[in-house]
Amino acid sequence: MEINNISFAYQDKIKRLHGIDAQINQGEITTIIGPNGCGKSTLLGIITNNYQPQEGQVILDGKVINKYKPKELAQKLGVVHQQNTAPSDMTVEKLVEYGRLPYKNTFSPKTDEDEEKVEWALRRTGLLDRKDSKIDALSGGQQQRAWIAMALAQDTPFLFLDEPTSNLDIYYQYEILDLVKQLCDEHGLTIVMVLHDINQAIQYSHQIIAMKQGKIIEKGNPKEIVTPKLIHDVYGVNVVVKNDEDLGMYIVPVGI
Amino acid sequence: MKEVLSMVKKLVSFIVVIILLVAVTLYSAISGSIEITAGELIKGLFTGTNDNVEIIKDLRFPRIIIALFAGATLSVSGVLLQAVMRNPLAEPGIIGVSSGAGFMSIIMITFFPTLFFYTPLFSFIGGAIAFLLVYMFSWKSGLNPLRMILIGVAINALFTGLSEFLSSSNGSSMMSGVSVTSSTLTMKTWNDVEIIALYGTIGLILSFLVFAWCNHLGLKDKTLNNLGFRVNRARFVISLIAVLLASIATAVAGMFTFVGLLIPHIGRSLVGTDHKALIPFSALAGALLIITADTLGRTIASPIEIPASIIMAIIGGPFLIFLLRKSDRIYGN
Repeated sequence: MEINNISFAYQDKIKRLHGIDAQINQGEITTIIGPNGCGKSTLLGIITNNYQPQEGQVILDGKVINKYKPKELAQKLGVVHQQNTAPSDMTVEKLVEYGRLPYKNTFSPKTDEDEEKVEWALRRTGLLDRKDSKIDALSGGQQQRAWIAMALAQDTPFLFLDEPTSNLDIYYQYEILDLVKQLCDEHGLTIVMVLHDINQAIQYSHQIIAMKQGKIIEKGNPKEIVTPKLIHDVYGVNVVVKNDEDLGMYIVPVGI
Repeated sequence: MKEVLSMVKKLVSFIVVIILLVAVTLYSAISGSIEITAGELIKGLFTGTNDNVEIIKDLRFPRIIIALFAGATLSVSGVLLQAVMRNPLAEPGIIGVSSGAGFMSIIMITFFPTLFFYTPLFSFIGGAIAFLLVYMFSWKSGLNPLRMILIGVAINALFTGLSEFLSSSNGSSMMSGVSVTSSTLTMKTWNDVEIIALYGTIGLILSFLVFAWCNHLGLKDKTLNNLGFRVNRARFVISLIAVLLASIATAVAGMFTFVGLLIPHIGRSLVGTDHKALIPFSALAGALLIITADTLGRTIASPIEIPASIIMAIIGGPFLIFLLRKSDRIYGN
């Protein structure tokens, strides 16, 4: 996926993104980081075709994304948004079945393939034994997994996650991140996510895109681009970058 | 286990409502100023020899059928509007759709009385205009529930005011059937029945066909968008059906508030939020409510008739408060 020279403003005409250029490599995990309001969720919204940029285009498999038919695009990219709602009495299985919507017409019945994919998505996210539970009865981590399962049932080569770990306990955060890693390693999914935690981004990503005020400050392999200067430029925080033989690279914030 | 329990609850709810509906309808047919027994009624219907039955057929049957349809269409209209606006308070009466429809049918009757048969069409246009206004003005706030209701109240007031202005400047005597603020089901003929039965049936069938879309709208626009679902097209179609249902009821039976609010609310707690069950259940329960209100209205203080809409308001208000106290389940989690 190629992101070419994207500029974007909401109805208030204030420009939120300025000439964004980036490349999403297939089979890799790309993480967008940056302070609140830097435009990272907006960028995710554009590359998932939820907002239309005023300038530039996003190209997926040689075709501009807003030229795809809605269902065709939904067969290529699955998205887990940051805030989700579902009717409170919906079961997990019903929710995950929504992932099959791009493959159906209004009246077409459930196929064997639908059932297989739904079961696979439930198993992959560890929700198979909770499939008859109502969404409301799940913990925060389980709910997040249910939404990821819905996107997995969509059976797309691309998966986009907007702050999948926010509002979760640290255990569930890593549960989600490990799942993301497995999906990439074992199933070859291309993953793009927005994260707040810089260390998680370093640990789990092949590529980091660091943004500030609607611009990309730096992008590339975390080991090469994450420096005290970059973090200070982006977040205004002083950090020490450490390297541990076993743990790899990590940062420690030391003040502002 | 829970699964089974909720299935049983669903089934029992349907059966109870159907039994009550049949019972009340039958009771309604045999009671009033002319009283006969159910046996006489059925016998008379087949033989055509009982004069009382003939009178009942001409006067009471249209009224009963119209009450049933009005209840069904208004409840289902409420269900659809609530799905489209993701707001449990959306109701054709509250957000002005009914008064818009009522206003247009009054214009119709005042200025073009010869076009009587097209009243539903005019009502539909009126209802659609009111709905469009509410939708447009609340769009900017992201269809914020509270704002939408406030705008609806304003639109409702505007159309009600305009209608009353028209009625009073024309002298109140000519408004035989249509009133903007209340409804009486007296003086209904088989012509009225034809209109509401035809358009009402079409509307109800259409609404059942879109049940899956209504369910989809329980998810966020963004989510649906990324599932390749055309959200706005679905919204548009469902809204049209909702407006059709509400307008037809208003054109023929007049204004009833609360039914589109109460019934879907009760429906959700009894049969759940799945529209596959909620839409048919609301149609049945809505019909039951209005026929009950109308039957009470004309038997409770006979020979004085209390309009069904007034009975509805008196039952509806307290009941709504009771419901809201009991459960605060609304859309979303």
